[in-house]
Amino acid sequence: MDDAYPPFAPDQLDELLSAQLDGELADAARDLGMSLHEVTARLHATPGANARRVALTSARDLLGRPVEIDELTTVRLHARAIREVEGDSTARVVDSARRRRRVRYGAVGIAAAAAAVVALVVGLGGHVSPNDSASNKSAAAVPATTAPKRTGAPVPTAALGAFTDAGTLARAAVEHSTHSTSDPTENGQPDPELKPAQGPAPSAGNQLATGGAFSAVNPESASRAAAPVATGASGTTGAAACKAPPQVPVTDAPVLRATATLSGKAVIVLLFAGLGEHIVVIEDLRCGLVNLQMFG
Amino acid sequence: MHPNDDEPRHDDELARRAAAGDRAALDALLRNHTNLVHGVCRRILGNPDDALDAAQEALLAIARKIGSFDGRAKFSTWAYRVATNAALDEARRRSRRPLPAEHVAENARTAESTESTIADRIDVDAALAQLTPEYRAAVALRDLVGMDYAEIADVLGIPPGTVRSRISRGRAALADLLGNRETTSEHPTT
Repeated sequence: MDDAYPPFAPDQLDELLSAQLDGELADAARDLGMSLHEVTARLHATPGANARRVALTSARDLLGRPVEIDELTTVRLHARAIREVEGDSTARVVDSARRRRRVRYGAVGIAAAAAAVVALVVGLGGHVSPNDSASNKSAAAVPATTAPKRTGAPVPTAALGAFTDAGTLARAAVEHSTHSTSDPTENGQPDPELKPAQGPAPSAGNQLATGGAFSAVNPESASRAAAPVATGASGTTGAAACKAPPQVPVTDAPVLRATATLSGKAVIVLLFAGLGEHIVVIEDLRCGLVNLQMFG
Repeated sequence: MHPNDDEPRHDDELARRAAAGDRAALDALLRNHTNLVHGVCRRILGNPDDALDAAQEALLAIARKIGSFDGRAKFSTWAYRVATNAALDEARRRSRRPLPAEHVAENARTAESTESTIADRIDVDAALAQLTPEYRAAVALRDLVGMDYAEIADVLGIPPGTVRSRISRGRAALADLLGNRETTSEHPTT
C-alpha cells in the first residue's frame, strides 16, 4: 500500500467503483475534490477493491436482467390501459350528451312555465283579444320541440356509400334519415352535397370531430373491419345484428340502420334520434365501436 | 443508454403522434414499454401483486396524459417518471396499510432462505428489500432502464451525487451476497 494514496473506506469504495462501472468516476472524483488520477490510484491502493468490483459488476448485471412477466399478463396490462382510455373518451361523449340534454330539458321547462304564466294572465283577464293569438301559438309550440318517438315501426336499412371521414358519413346518415322520412322511395344513395371528402383518409387514431361532434375510435375494431362494404343481404344482416354499445346514452331502437365504407373499411351505421338530437354510432362488422358522432 | 439507439427516436416519434391523438401510435408505445414499466414497478416495490397494480396505474396514466407530452423530454424519461411515481405512490399506500399475517410470515421466510439460495438463484427483490423504495427506484432506472445519472436525477428530483450514492447502495446490497460467495471460491481478496 502506498502512503501517498490512502485506501478508501468501504462505503466510499462501493460508491466510486459503482460510479466507475457507469462511466461516472470523473464526476464522482470532482465531487470529492480529487483528480481522476488520484481517485484511480487510491482505488488501486484499497485492499479488496478488485474483488468488490467483480461483485458490484455481477450485482449490476443481475439488476439489469429483465423482470419476468408472462405474456398473458403483459397483454392484460396493455389492453386494460387502452380499454379504459377508450372508455374515458366515450364517457366524455356521454357526459357531454347528458349536459346538453339537461340544458335542453331546462329550456323546454322554462318555455313551458312562461307559456303557462302567459295563459294564466290571459285567462284572468277574462277575455282573449285577437292580439293574444301569438302567445297561444308560442305556448302550443312548446311540446313540438320534443322529437316524436319512433317505436314499433320497421327500421329502414340503407347503403350510404363510401366515405373517408366519419363526420361526413354521420351527417349523410342523418340526411338520409330525414329524406327517408319525407320520401319513403329514397334509394339510399348519399346526398350529393354530402359526398365523401376528397384527399387523404384520416388516420385511424382518435380524432376530435369539428362542429361540436365527438368521435371515439377503436383502432383494433377498425382494423378488423377490412371487408368491402356489404350492400346485399349479408350487409343488412350484419347491420341488423348490431346494437349501440352500453355506454352510448340511447334507449330507443335506431331510426336507421345502414352500411357504408369508411376509409375503405366496411362499417355499420346506426342512427338514433330524440329531443332534436341525433347520435350516430359507427361500428365494424363485428359490432365493435369505431366512431361516435352526435349532432344537436 | 438504450440497447437500440434507434428505439428512443422511434418512441419519441410515436409519442408525438400519440399526443396528437393517434390511437395506433399510443397502442404501439404502450406495447413497447409495458414489460419495462412493470419491471421498474417490481424492482421498486419488490412484490409481484403491488407491482402489477402500480404498472397498471402507470400505463393508464401514460395513456391518459400522453396528450400533455410536449416532446421537450425524451418519451422514456417522461414515461418512467410516471412509472416511478406510480410505484412510489403504491409503496406509500402499502406502508399505510397493515400487512396480513401470512404476508409477514412469507417475507420472513424469504429473508431466512436468501442465504441458502444464493448458489442457485439470487433473490434480487429480497436483496433490495433492505433499501427504501426511493433507493430502489434509482437502481431500477439505472440498471433496468439504462438511464444515465442526469436523467435519473431529473426523474427523481434529486442531485446526481445522491443518485450515485443510491445506486451504489443498491448494488452493494446485492454484491454483499455475491461477494461473500465469490471471495471464498473464485475471487480471493487482494
